[in-house]
Amino acid sequence: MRHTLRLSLRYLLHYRLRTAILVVCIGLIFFLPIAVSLLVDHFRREMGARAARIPLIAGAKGSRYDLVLNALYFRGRVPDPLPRSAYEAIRDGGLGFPVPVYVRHTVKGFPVVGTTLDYFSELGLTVREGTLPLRLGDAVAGAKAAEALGLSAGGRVITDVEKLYDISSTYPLRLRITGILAESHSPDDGAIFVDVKTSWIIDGIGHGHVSPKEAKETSNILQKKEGEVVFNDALVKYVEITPENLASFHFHGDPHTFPLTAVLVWPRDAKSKTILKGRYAVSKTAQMLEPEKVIAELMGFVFRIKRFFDANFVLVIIATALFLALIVLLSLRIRKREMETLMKIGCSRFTVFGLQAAELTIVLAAGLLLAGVLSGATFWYVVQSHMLL
Amino acid sequence: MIEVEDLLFTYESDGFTLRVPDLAVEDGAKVAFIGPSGSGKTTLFHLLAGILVPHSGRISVAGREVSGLPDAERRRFRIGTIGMIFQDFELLDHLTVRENILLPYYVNRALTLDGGVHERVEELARALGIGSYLRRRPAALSHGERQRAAICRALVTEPALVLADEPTGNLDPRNTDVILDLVFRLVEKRGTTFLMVTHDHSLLDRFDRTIDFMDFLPEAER
Repeated sequence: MRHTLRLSLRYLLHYRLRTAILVVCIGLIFFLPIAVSLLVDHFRREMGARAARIPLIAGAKGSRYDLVLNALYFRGRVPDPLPRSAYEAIRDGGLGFPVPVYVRHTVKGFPVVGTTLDYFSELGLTVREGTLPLRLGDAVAGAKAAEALGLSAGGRVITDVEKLYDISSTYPLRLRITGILAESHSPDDGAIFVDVKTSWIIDGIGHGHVSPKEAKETSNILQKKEGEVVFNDALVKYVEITPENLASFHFHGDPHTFPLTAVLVWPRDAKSKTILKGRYAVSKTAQMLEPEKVIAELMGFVFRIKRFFDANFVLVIIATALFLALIVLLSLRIRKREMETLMKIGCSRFTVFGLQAAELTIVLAAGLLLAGVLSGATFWYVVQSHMLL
Repeated sequence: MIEVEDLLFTYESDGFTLRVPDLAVEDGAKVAFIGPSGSGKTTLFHLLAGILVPHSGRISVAGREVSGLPDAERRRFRIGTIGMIFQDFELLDHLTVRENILLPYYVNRALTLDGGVHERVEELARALGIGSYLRRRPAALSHGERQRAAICRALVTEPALVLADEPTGNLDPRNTDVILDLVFRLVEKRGTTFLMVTHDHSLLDRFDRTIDFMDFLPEAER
């Protein structure tokens, strides 16, 4: 056995280019299905775990996938708004504990989640540095978002401009980072959290005023006389809530109608859960969903596609096996003389077969090892970079 | 002692038939086989080595009835008794000279590769003038050096019989003389029987005997 392996390795190393091509071919053939399988399993686990932590989600009528994906993973299309009164009704009804969520804005592509402090306690999120957002304009960044944006407590970030060429749209808001969350290996790592009222200010529902007489910014002031301040019309780049202007911030309209994208609900018990679902079942404007079921349904589609992929992989394996058989047959023809020499000096047919089998096994093993390494590296990269969630 | 009686072998592909009514070679003899191409010299070598099986007749080598042995037994007999040298060396390009010489040990479980064998490789390689080339690959050697490596491989198992099929066919006259001198010195030292196919009649004087294959051909074909 030792000598068979030695001879096989010698042959493969001598014809290293040929061997390398074979190993790379096999490696690439197996890489994709292994990587996809690893990632889909991980994706399913991660999505399932997140969905399992939140028993119910209330939202406006519409696509249940959009609602769940936006509320749990801060991804996908923003669902239609749900009035704040829906949150208040659940809170006052006593059947469950609601947490409002408003996910519409971004900071350099990272979602800004407007919520309350209950969100952090219900999902077990803690700060690694600084404090949770306690004031209008405060924000706390998820670990990955902070790393990507280079944020630390005390830093500032500006929300993304929604409509660059619409001068009537609201200004971006400059947020004060009060803390960084500890890594939770969930979508929360890639988000920036603010109080839901701060989100409404970004929306333009609430705003503050600065008296020209108290303005500290001098670059925009053209003339300052007694009882009169003349400003130039330079574009204001962003709004910032400071201790000086905080008191001037206020909201217009009926607070009960202020928008939310979802309400996360932790029912008091199984009966409460059933009652809540029943109430929303007849609603024409709102829906109450069990995220776990919606995600399971969604994953059902993914796995149906994966089954097609798996069937395709079986065909690829058959094609690979045929391709390898062809290579072995051609190799036997090319190496006929070598085999004859071996047999003339006393080598048995079994040993000749063993040599061929050992070479094939080594090439297959090296190809699978390469596929494993590539899949592992891809898996690590995708998970680390939060490409899936 | 090699004894052949009433040997008959026919290739089914082209119908060529080899008939050897009677042949005897004493132990330690150096015998040259001559004859035109296609007269059956290589076929007889393959029959003596047990690679081919005669249709009828008897072949006895070193006291063993080769023709009557089953496949596996014949192979074991070949490993232990016979060394073969080929015209075009038949060294494996991907192995070093040392590994080519040791090849019979790598592919036959019946042979044990121990320190004594390694010493023998060194000794044979030195005697054949390739002692410093053992780590090289065959492609890095000249024709003469490659044939010396092939001779080493044939002798490393210390066979009782060496069958050399035109081993000097690809060598120039000077190299032919050198190689034959070296082989004769080694086989004489060990008392090995040496049978060699050659077309070079100038070498015949150096052998104990010459067997002309024309004698085995039917009258009409001579």
